Amino acid sequence: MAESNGDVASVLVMAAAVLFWIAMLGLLWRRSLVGMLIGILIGWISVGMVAIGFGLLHQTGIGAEVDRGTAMGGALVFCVSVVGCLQIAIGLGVVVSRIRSRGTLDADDAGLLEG
Amino acid sequence: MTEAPLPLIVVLGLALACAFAAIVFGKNLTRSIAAALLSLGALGLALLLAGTGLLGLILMILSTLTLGLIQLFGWMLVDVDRDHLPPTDRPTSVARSMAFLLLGGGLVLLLLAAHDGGEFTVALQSATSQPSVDPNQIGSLALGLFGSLADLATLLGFAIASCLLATLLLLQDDEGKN
Repeated sequence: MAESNGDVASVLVMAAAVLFWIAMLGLLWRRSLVGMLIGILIGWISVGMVAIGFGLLHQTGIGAEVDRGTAMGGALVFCVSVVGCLQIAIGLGVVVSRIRSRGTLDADDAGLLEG
Repeated sequence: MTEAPLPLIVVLGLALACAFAAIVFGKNLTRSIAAALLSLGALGLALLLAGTGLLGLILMILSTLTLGLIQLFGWMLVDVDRDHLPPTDRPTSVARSMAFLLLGGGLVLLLLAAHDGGEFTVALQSATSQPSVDPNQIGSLALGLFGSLADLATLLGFAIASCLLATLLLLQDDEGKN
């Protein structure tokens, strides 16, 4: 069971790395703010997958009533998910505000913070 | 290498391909959302196949709800045919490509180092012999999450931060100047 957990965890972590890379592709190359939000969503899913892999990797498998590794992985997944949801919610508010004030979704047009 | 079940690898591959399609199809919001939903479905199936149970379900439910929010607001805000944006400036494209390639290279290096250095195996051995998380050492466990790769992770963090800053500096201002 433990060996299988290790294999599954390593596959999950590798897939999460590729997924994070794809998310960064969305953040760096997409100019639409909605497309960037989808990239952020994919990014935090990949981080959640790493947390799940962490939990799998640290499962004790000794029949404890509450496995500490799983509990830590669960806590990490919960934190990442809640922060990700809040981030998207705030991002959507910013997008709506920007469209109302500027009428465009172009992220490259947002240079007010520069200099 | 690994002995993970083949269906898990196939479903994960499908999920990654759909996530890539969701980004590539970004000029059409409907296609992008559809590919992202398919990717989420495949990821949920993969997590269930991996035996993650409730954790995978929590992650997938929250992700689907968030994607639904993006879909709702996106359809309210965007012309779903295409985003009508002009092409990106060349210096900005180059800077973003460099940041993207550096990030990909860093991730590959980290994975190779973790695999060759036996990080997964070491954690697995400690997990089979005793409870791997000592409640008295949770703080030190969090600090040493990267183990022997901590230095590499720090360097990678600095490199990514510098690239993102360079990208930020190359953003256009309101008059269209760099």
